Amino acid sequence: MSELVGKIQSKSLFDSKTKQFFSTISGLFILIIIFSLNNENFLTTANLLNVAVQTTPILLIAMGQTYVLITGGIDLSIGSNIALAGVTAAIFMKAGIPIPIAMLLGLGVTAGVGVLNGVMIAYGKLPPFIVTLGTMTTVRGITLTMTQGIPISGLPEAFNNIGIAKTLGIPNPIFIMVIFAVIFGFILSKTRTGRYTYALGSNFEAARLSGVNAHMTLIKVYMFSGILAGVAGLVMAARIISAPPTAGMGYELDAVASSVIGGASTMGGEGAIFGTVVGAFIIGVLRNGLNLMGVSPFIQQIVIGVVIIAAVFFDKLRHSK
Amino acid sequence: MKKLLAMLLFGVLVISVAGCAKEAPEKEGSAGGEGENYTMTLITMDSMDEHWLKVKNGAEAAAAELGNIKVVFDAPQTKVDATVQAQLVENAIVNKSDAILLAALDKEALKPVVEKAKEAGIPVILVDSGVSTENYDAFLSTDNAAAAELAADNLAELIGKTGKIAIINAQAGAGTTMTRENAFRDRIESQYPDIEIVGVQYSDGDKQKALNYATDYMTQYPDLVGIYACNEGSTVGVGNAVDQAGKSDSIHVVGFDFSADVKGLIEKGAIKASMVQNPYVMGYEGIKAASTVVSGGQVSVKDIDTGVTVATKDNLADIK
Repeated sequence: MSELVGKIQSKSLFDSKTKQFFSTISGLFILIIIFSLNNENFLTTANLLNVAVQTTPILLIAMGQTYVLITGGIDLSIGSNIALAGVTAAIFMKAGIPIPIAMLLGLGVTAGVGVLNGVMIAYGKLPPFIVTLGTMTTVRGITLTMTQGIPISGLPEAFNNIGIAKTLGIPNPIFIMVIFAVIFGFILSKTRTGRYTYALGSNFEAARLSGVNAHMTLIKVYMFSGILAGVAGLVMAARIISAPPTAGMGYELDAVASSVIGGASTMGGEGAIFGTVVGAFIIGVLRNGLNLMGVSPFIQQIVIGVVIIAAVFFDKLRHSK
Repeated sequence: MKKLLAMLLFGVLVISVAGCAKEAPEKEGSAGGEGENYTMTLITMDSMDEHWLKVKNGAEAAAAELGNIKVVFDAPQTKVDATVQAQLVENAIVNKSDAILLAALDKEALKPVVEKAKEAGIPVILVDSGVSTENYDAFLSTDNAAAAELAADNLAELIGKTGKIAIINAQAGAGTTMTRENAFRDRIESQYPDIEIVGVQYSDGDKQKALNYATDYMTQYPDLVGIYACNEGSTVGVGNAVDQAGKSDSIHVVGFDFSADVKGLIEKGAIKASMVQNPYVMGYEGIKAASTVVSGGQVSVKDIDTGVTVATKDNLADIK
């Protein structure tokens, strides 16, 4: 009997996941169709590549946020980490350190911030909202102090290439985005760390008691978010050949929006990288398409706000059925 | 026990912070020479924009020259709302600052505290952005409308007075940048009938957003000939967009403000001209004016236009 219940539940779970998959991706296609009918410049290779480049930082940080949301947490320090990675790498580059090493140092620092978040949340038992709110402000302050408030400019040409050069006709940031999406999609869906991440968000105590190394998993998850924010920060700095200490302000909220549009739940236990990819592209396409249609920037904010709420609302409806 | 420990730790923290804060004035006291020493509080809109750091540098240079002035830089860390800034003015009143230099975030919201400071006998020097009261001692600012008109004339010249242009502004609703947008529009509409402004976007001063908006404008209007950007972040973003699209020759960018990034893009030819304010002069002359007022004098002209310099490839070396 209980086996039967289990079977039914797992079947309906599968169905809801499939439905979610189709509803988010069809949302994206509807947008694309609407915009291509409205503007002849939208569905051009140049513009689509442009949309992908514009979406790259959002998607990178949204993947980190998805991991965190699945554990039932939130990472508000993402925006500050974006600036920290760019500024750190830029300072080392200016000091003559080879570019790849400078970039790794930048990522190392933001990974460190992530680990610190994770340790305080896992071992300190502090609420993620508060911990990351604290690191958000602290890291922003550190970044401003490091730069005395002035953007670090005059970075090497080769670094700029990472942000704007093309390989086989495709801008480099897109490759970076795809590589990281594959890696983090794989970790979440195919590895033990991924399964533990879901287990923590579904029922933290139960997961811990059944042998999941809860603390270590939490630390890893926040570290992932730190690293991905760092990658986004490097790509952004490379695009403008400048590392402003003010970069990425408020971007953590774009990350939350992409994740929840893609089906992640702020209550934990739910979310997937594929959904987040679609979520991030919905936001990216929406911004680009509305720009091309010449929609007032004030109206755009209203539209995006409505889309976020509508996406979560329909998700909730589906769940209650 | 745990609670006690926590309170103890907190106590230590408070004492050490207070200790740090105390250190500065003591040093100042021993260094002060003959005559009276004055403490002047400089309150800008935030403490990270290069613009405000230049105001601060100018103020400090004037203070160093005068010798008997200590400048306390008390700005919110990031862009905040006017109530936070009003609290900073109140703090300066409570701390009996000898003069207050203020770049007001909101001309209405800061009016009561400015009047309160004046009632307390503290001279108020406004820099950059004003307050809607007559109760101040001096106001040093860029005439943004005049500067925007100059920008319009420059861009019109560059594009041969005809074609489509777009505007990338910073914050919708911020007085200074809205003046730059509106005065520019009025000038174009009244003087250059063959120029069409296709639209405006607001980047919040975020270089990435400005880059994205400018790219989208170039996609939407392949025949675009010019872009006008209203602040440093927007100018850098737009310059990069045009540079990356390889359209430096066909799209002329005229921006606002100056930084190492703006300079680099002007050198590259991606930005043709930028209206450079003189924030250093605002801070410098602001302290000089405050010094005159605290020693019983009066400023000859109350409202002073600190002007703009048009930075182009030709005069880059002279801009600081």
